Amino acid sequence: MLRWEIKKLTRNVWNIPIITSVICLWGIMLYFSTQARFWYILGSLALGFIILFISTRLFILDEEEKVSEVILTTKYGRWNLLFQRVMTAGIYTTGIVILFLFIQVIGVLLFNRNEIDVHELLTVHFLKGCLLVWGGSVLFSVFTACLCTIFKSHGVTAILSGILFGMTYILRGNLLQQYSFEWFLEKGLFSYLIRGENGLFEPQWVVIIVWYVFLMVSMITITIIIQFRRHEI
Amino acid sequence: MILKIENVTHQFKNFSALKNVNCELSPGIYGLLGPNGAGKSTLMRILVDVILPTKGRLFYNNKEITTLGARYREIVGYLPQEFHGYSNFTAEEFLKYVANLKGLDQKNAQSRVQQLLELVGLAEVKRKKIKGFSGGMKRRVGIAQALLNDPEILILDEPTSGLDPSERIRLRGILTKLSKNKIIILSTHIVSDIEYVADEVLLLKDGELIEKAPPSKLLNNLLDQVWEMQIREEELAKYSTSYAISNIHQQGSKIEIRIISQEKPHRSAEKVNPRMEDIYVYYFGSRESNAICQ
Repeated sequence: MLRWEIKKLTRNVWNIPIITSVICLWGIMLYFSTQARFWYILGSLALGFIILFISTRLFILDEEEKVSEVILTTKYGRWNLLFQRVMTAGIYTTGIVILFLFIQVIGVLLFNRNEIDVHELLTVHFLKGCLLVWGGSVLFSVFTACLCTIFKSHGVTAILSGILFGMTYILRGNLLQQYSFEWFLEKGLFSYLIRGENGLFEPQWVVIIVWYVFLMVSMITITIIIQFRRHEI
Repeated sequence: MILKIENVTHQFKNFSALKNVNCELSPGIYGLLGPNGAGKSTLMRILVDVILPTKGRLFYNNKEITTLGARYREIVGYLPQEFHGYSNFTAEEFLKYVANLKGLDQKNAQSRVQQLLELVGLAEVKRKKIKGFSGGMKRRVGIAQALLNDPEILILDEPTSGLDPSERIRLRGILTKLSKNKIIILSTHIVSDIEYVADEVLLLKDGELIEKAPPSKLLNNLLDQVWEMQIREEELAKYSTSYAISNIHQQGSKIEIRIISQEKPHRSAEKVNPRMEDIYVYYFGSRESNAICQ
């Protein structure tokens, strides 16, 4: 079952254009020797875009292609399939994160003009960042999957998640009062993690973890309740 | 094998799609007939457990279908009214995917998919992506997926829409062959399809089941009530307001009409054998012919 769901994602027409444009952008950044800053804005945005437009589509494809009723009348088309699809979204996102990080490492190793301390970048920034990028991406893909399942509309999901995801890029974290509403908007909506910010290593890490656990548990619970009411699980 | 529908009612906000539907279905082919909005698709969606009825229950062999859950879905095959299939999948891939969801193992799925692709006449295009398929071809993919698990209950919502006459004949043949140990329910607007294959016809009007009988019995009810006659064009409006008209055919300067009436409508009128279309007009009226006449 997982194999078929992954196949559906890899057949998405957006895969090649996005990955190609990311590699091209990286090339341009390398030319200007700003490799280290790439991940901070463009890389994280590209990852968010891939999650929103490719991985999330898995949860709306049945509606768009008019097969949802067929799927719902199959033996494993309810609970089992929902679980498999969440797993697929996680696996796919992990694959994309690995690909992006791999491209970045290759870029640093091949084109570094001694302006960046490679050892420090790979051991200190990169290893710490990797975990956050991966965790943030998987959580974001599950969050958007839930939204998409609730609203049954890719457009609504993309707009809502896009606005939430964009908060980190709009709000200035160092100017915000700790634990204020804006502080949560900046740090608590996935993009802060996907940018590889070392939030989990900051003193307020406990609050951030508790917030993400609360957010994800609430989202998954609401999704299950709504699915149950619609007689879809 | 019995599928029992008990007091099924379904309400969409202020609109009653189904009102206290009761009936028992045993193996055979059932044709569901009714105008648009009569509740046919809603009833079918309830029968396959896609939606829950507002009131009432459904039993399969005396067990409630909501309790049976996946065990019920295991024996159901369903083709919804609207079906496209994943456009980026080939017909073969899509069927294998559905076979997987229906719990067929890989080896079984492989042979069953090939067998069904042959049956619906898509074996030659099995590696072509569904996005390149015509409406009729997509419909045939839909029919094939419904048959994948060799279902005991097969529910087809307008299976013949988009199919050309030869494909319709082929489908009728398939359904007749399958009907021995299965409950097959099909709805279609092409009433002749029901006339040819259905063992019983269920007539739905405004959400109510108004009749359940074999086509021969329904046709017998209309015996001596169907007439054909030629009239002048200006007389058409008069007849359309007084009688149920099941067909209008221009013949030179005159018009030949087919009327359903207990009494002879005109001395020139000739009695003819009733057809399923006459039954449809008798029970549901004919908006089309009235519109033409006005």
